[in-house]
Amino acid sequence: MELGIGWSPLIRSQEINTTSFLDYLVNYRQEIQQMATDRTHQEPNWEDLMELAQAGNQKAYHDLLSALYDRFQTYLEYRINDFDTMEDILMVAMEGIHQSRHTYKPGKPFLAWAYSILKYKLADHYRTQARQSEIFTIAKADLPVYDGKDVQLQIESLLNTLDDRDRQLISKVKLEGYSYREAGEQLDMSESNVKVTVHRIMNRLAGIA
Amino acid sequence: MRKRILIDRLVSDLSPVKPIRNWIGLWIPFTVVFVWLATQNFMWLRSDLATVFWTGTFQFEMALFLAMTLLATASVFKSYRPGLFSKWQIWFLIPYAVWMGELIYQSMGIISTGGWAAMSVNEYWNCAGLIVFAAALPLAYLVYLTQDGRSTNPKVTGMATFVAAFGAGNLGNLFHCDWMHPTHVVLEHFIPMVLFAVAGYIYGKTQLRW
Repeated sequence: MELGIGWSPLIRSQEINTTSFLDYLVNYRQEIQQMATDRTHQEPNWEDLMELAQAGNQKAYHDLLSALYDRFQTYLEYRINDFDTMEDILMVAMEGIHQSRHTYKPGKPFLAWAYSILKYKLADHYRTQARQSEIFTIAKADLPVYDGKDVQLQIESLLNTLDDRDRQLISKVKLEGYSYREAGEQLDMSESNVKVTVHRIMNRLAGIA
Repeated sequence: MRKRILIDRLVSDLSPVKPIRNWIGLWIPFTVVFVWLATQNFMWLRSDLATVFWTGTFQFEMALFLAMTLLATASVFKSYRPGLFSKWQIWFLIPYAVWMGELIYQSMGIISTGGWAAMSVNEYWNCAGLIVFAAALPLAYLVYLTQDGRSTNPKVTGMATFVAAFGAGNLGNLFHCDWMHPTHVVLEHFIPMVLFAVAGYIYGKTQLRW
């Protein structure tokens, strides 16, 4: 079989003949197909789980959110290099999934629905960030990396430098996993105020550390 | 750690939900009936309706406003769920462009025949108000029907919501207003419709974000 001119240098450089190269391509394609099949088998049945979740099945909802969390995390890891930001977006997106679960139409592709929420929240995050960066031009300092047993003590000593309200706010948002909105409701603050205050506290803590 | 806390919290907050339904089949008949009753009883049908109805211009404009309303309505009920948005959902803006082209064409004809002197502010100065009158209730009903939606394109959804209602109002006004001078149409029909679309954009941007 004749191969195009473009393949010739590759074949020469690897010192393989045309037949073995074609075999290699065929094997490679089979491997890719096998990987895709394996992945499909590992994937949960999103649509069924979501329908059960809509009916109030907690086990199905837990499985769905766990699998979706991992999937979203992989998606965001390729796009956001800041771990805290990625976690924040992930949390907001999962909240969005939870709040809008009634908008999923049974029988429709679940992932298209879920990813459109993730992308909306991602875009919303960048829009908000762009607005805030016009107000706050403080450069974000690099937080030191703690290791092993010292982490708890280091965090506690940092939190002790804050007043009560700020300590509660940081604990709720950064340690206990509450969303900005929920933390705001508990501390009687608006969501945007919580975002701004947390941003300021993090900058202050970075300066202390 | 945060993953487990977050998921546990969301799962504990789970309650059964009913998937939202597409109420387009409810809104369209309601709007048709309401706009027709409003036009017939409160805005009065134009006196030359019987003769003008089958003319090309009337049919063209009726098709234009109908297309605007139906496309915008379809866009609202598609875009108020995440994951269903596609480019065709902004096609309701095309009738605007066609309408503007028609108005420019009509204006050119009048300019060439020196007909601008015939333009005066007449009793139909309140067409914009009548469109608002005919569209207010359909708009409120549409906002009510879509209140549980979560649009991932809130500006488009907001704009489509307003265009759907005011397009229907404008369609009703077509059966009422017989003052076809382009200046009147631009000032009392076209510009208000553009302003309604802008209002919808602002509504979407401020009210439909979540």
